[in-house]
Amino acid sequence: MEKSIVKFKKHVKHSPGDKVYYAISYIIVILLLLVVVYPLIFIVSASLSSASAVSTGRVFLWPVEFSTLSYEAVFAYKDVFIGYKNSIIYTLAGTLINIIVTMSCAYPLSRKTFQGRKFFMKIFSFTMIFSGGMIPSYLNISRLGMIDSIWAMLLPGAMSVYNMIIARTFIQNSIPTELLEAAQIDGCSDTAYFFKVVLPLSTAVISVIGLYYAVGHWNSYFSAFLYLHSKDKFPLQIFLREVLVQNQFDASMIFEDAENVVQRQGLQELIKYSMIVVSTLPLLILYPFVQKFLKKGVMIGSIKG
Amino acid sequence: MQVFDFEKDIDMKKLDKTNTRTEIQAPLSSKGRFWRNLYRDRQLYLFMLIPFAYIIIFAYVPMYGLQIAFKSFKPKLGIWGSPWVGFDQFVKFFKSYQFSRVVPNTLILSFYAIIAAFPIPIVYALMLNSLTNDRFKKVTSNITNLPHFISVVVTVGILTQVFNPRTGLYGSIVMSLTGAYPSDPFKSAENFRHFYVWSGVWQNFGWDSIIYTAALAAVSPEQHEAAQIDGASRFQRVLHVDLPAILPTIVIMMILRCGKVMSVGFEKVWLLQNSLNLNASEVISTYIYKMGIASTGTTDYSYSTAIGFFNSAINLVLISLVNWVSKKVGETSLW
Amino acid sequence: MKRLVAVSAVLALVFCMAFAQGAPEVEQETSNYDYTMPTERVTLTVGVKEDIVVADWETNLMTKLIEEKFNVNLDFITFPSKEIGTKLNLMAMDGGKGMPDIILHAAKDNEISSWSSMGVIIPLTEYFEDDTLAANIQEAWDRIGFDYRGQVTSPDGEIYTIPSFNQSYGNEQPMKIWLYKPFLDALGLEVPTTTEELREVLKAVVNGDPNGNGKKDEIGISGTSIGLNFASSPSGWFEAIMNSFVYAGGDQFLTVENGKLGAAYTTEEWKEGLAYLRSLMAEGLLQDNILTQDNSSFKALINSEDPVIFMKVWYTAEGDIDKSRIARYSEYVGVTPFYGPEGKHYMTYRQTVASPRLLVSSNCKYPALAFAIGDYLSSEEMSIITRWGERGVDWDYVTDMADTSAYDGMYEKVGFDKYIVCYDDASFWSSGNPQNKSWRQQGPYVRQYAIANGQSNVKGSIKDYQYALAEYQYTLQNGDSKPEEIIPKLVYTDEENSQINEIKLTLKTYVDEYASQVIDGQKDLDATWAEFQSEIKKIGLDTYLSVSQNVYDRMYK
Repeated sequence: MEKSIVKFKKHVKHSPGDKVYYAISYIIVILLLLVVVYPLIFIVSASLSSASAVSTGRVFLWPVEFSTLSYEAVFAYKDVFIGYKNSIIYTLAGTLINIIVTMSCAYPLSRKTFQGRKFFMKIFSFTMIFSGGMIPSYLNISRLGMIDSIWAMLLPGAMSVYNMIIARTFIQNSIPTELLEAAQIDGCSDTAYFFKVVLPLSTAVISVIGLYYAVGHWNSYFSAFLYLHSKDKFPLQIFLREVLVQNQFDASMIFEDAENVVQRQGLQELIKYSMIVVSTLPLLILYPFVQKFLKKGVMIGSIKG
Repeated sequence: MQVFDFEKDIDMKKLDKTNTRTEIQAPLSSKGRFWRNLYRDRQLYLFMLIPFAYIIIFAYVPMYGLQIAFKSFKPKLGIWGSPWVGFDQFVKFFKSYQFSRVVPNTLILSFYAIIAAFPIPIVYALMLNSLTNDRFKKVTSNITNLPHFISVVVTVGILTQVFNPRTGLYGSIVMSLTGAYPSDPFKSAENFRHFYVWSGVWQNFGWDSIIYTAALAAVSPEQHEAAQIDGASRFQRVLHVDLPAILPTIVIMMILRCGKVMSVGFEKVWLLQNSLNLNASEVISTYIYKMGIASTGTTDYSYSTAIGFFNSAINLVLISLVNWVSKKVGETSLW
Repeated sequence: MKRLVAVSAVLALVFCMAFAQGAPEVEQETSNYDYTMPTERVTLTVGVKEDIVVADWETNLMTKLIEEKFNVNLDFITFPSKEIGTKLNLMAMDGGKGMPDIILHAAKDNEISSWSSMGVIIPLTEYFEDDTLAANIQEAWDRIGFDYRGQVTSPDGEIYTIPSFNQSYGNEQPMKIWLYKPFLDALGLEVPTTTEELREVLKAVVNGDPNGNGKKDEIGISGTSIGLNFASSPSGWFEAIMNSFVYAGGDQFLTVENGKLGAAYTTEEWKEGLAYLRSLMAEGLLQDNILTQDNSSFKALINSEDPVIFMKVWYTAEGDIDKSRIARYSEYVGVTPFYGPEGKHYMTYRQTVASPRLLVSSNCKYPALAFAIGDYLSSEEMSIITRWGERGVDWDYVTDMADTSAYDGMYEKVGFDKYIVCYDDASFWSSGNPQNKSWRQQGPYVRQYAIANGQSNVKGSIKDYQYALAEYQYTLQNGDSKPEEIIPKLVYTDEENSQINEIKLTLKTYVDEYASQVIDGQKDLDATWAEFQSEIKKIGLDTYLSVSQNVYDRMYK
């Protein structure tokens, strides 16, 4: 089948209509690209410029007065490395749990004959809209004895209803019911169907929700500061925020040596940018992997009508 | 080869009744059917066990906290011990001086954001998907994902820098074209809305398009082949093959989006707010924040919970409405 | 289907009941104060804010001093610096579980009020009266010249905190006015002393091209948007100018005359002040986008290649100026407030108040010990260490030194005797390098004027703009720009707070907004003034004033 597509593409000449379409599309996409790329370059350049260049607004496109000071300032805070380690653990473990729970939930809900389907959907959706609030959630975690433990980072967010709905929609719409019928005729159980048919065909959606979850874990700040006390358990974002926040000028100091004060002030402007680079870099490695799955999630196996 | 339209060609309701697996021909009373279906779906219920337990323990149990919206919360008495006041907190909000400004501002901002920001990731995904150069597609989508990770502080910082009427790109361009500095774009309340919405579009259109790209990956090449045989142009193929294939995804995303209408985030509004644009920029979240820090006595949790409850109620009404409409119009819906 | 609903609802209810409990019971020490001291070495937990400059709390010099003196072991729990209040609040709601024995948090009034009502922090009132336990604190009252307890007493009559008290000229009059001297020199002008003279000078600056670059890029008055936090951005221009018409430096623009509270924005003088600012804006003397400018844009302007900003209102001359433009630090000179048409010339005066710094939680088994530690921190020496580092290494009392000729200080400009000598403040405090000798001002401390203002440094290390600042501050402190009466601090009870909180917020927002709209020309002052006055009445100004009057009477009469 793949061969035939390739053959087709080679033989099909683009009609004039198609050429216009491609031209316009490429132009629009490239324009969007430029609009997006400029600020990105600016951020990287700013992070590699000197503190005074940034705070006096002299950076426009390329680094001005090249300096790695902002990165040094971030990594001088040794705890940042503890943060990296913890964030990696939380992200890997957390995403794994997320995918298991989400797919276990999405699968039954994708079956149109599942009894209680509507009921469950309502129960889950309601929680996207109403929530008890920060204090009751904290008290709940405390009653469960999970305060200051790794479980507080992995369990309360075990499933995002939003992501589950995405997964359900995929399974429902991308996997034709003929397969289900065929499998049932062959005596395949619901469980077996899940593992043999649904999962293999869901690589696209698993990679998407996996990406969403991973990014969520990596960027998480809120649950960490809420539920964790011990410094050695804090994820990256907590430490990065400290670096940022603490380089702000505090007017209650007396008789500063103004030069140094200004230098630290400038540092805050600068650190904003290096923080983004430092915390985003690992994710950049993740996305290309996800992209692979987005190509492969095509239907395999033909449907004998 | 046949082109399947799965939604229309299979009548799901018919399939429903032909239970091809069980042999039990029990009497079809509703009570009986309930238990029979329970047994039939027993494995599916097993799948549901963990997620369901999860949602009860972590989402529903804390909901008892919502009652403080109907109470006058005193920390000394705790949540259960504080006295009931019925709808007093809500009435306080409705009667407050700021109500008539913050609620419409929140709604306008949200709807504007939905209308502007919703179609763009879809169009982008369709367009990108239809291009043929794989390397280009990969690089482009990688790059357009990145703005999503920029913190809101930096985004607003770049925005204010670029549009500064004196020192920014905007100011320089106008100066060189007209010989005078432009007036300050941040003074106007309307501009606040434009800045808020379009900076959001810029930041998220790439990331938001991932879901549609993934949906497009599931479109079978046979359909495209078939369309090509029928003489469809690339554009027509996008319109008639790609778009309908991701329509259910689009509908679901739209419904979900409507469930967040009242939840305009705090941080970006706060950063863009100044004393001249409050007519557009004072929204519910900034109002609650200011009430919190202004307070010298005990923070009024009851009041802020009541406002939050009000927001959620509106969100619920809206999402149910949109869900109902989409059920009537098509086959896709949340429940 | 209905079955399923019923079954789940029951399950849910059961779960809820099982997990949700009532308000946790907390033991309240209502009558007897506990004076027991431990007989052996015990451990006390101390909650602190994360500070990346403190290398290691456990081995810090101050920690060691305390551990030795009291034979106690201190264990530190660090909180994320911005969220310490939220975190402590959650712990309080959870019955105080996890709260450290000693909490070094600059608690806000509402936090103290909540937590004390929940019983998770204990009252310390009696301890202050104990001559042994509170020895250093009582001595501190002599040093600062008054007993600060009134300022930290909660509405229920108890004191729940040991505060810090830091007398400093600079902090008391923060909205200092700075003019760019080279512009005056280039135009041959004198420093303006009245608002009308200011107008003329501004006109000359904006039109006369004093920076000599041929472009009309000079800015008369620059700053940032009204309503921003004064300490972090130069938004003080509004108050500084309005002060020449009516005293606008009070919190929420409240004024007091003969013990009666009023609001500055109800007066004709406020209207005149707005008219003046409007005319400045209309003539291009006030920066066009000053009302929306943020700190970054202001910084970009003040650091521009050719100097453009003439007047700014901020804490110091060098604030926001980058070190690459160091010459400019000395080029901005401080001036006394301008005389308004009625002869008023106030400067915003924020009298030093005691600010909460240390709390003792009900988990603490030895509250008297905890208090004693707070008392020790309030001693003069510890108060100096927490800011300047190790005695004998980073600083010394002048009386301990044989020869102080190598040291020079601002003291001659401010009329104090030499008090302490600091060897290298720059590298200690503001370099950002990790150090392990001080707690960096977390926790209580009490410093009288003499300490900061009688400080001397190595000869030559003090720059001329620092001398200028000291002299300027002294002039202001001893001048006649302080308002006749001020309101130091108002502490509302919960009842009162629920009455006025919303009004207070709405009023401030509305007043700032109206002022901005008038200055910008969006609203015509004469046409809308009456409407403005009736709106603020509608919002609830009278209630706000009467409730605040009650608080004032209760606290200060």
